[in-house]
Amino acid sequence: MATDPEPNNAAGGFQATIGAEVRALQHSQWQALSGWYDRYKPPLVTHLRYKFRLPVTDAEAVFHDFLYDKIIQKEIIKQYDFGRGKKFRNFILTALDNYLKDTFKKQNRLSYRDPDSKAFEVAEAKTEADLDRDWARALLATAADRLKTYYEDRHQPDRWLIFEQRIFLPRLTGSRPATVGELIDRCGLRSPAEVSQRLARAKETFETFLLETISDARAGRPRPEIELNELRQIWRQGDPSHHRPAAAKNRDASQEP
Amino acid sequence: MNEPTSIDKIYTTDFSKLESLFDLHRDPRGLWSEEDYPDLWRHQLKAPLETDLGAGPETIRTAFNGACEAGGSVPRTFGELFDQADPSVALLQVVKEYGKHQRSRADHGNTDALPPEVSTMLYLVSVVVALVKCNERIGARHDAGLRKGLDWALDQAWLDTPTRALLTRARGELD
Repeated sequence: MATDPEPNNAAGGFQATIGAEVRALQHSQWQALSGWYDRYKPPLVTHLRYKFRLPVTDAEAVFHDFLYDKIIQKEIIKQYDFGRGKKFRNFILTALDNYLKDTFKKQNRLSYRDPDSKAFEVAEAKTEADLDRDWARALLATAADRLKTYYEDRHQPDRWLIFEQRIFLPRLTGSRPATVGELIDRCGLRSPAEVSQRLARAKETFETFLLETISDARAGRPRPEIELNELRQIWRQGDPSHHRPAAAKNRDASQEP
Repeated sequence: MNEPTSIDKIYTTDFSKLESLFDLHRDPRGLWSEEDYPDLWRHQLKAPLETDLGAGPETIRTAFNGACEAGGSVPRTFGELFDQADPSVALLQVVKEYGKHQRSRADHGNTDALPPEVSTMLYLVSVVVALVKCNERIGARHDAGLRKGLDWALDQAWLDTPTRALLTRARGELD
């Protein structure tokens, strides 16, 4: 099988598998949709939930409407051109963003986030690097949300709280990590050993969920054509939007729809 | 619209800050840093004996239950045990073993173990309390080894004042 000429083809044979799947969908061979659905649904729903702050039921509904309207009815995957240098995952993300934007326009619901939010910047203005970063965020948010839900389902919300207050938020925001005393008080625990055990388990579980989100362990292949090494490359490229002058950011905000 | 949660911050924070969450397993920082040691130690002293010793490995659980059944008033916390004028040597021995066990777990890479500095302190304090208050040696340490341990302990800036005073007294008696 020929390897697809997609950029960043670091996964080798895996890309060929994905290429075969994409080509099958381009030929309306819908049996290939099952694998696509399994890999793309979690990060795309997370993207809708956290980037656009949709309630989970709305995010699921938008995703399934997109699947039906765009993937199955309009067969937009036929428009994907392997030779144009755009990653397939970014092609899908752009299509989903545009679909959501069109949906909200029809429903006159374009003020979902804060006024200075750039969430609804037109998707076509996004570079491949912007889209790569959105994917990285979606994968991270998928793993974090899974951990939170995992502990909520087990009636152990304190485990998420310990991870959130000790590791997650301090890494994300630079905030002070909660002390052992604060965690004991907030979670009704009795000793540092109890906190340590819960924190270590939560950290390990998060790492497991993250690896499973990035790599579909069951299928033994990366999820949406992304892997840890590629994510590291994305980080090394940085996020130019956080280094632009304030005037440029204000100009962006004034152009919000 | 959903209320913002901590997970929303993934979308509002500087992108470069996300990297450390992807590579937690490579992070050289453990669960706790030295800045946490004073708080860890303070709360270790406040921790109920039953919570830690009753949940330890079987040998420690059995020894703890045996020490409790031996009679006398059983203190509730580690701190209360160390503060007693005439503490149970059997209980101090269990605490010493618990400190050793935690230290060993940390040395073997168990990430959920207490920091080795804190568990070593627990070990040393139980040995010293037995020596100073009960005139019993419960550690296999010779004086030279105990001196070395006490010198290390007294060098720890995070140690609380009452424990420091106790260890200083013990160190003086060894000279």
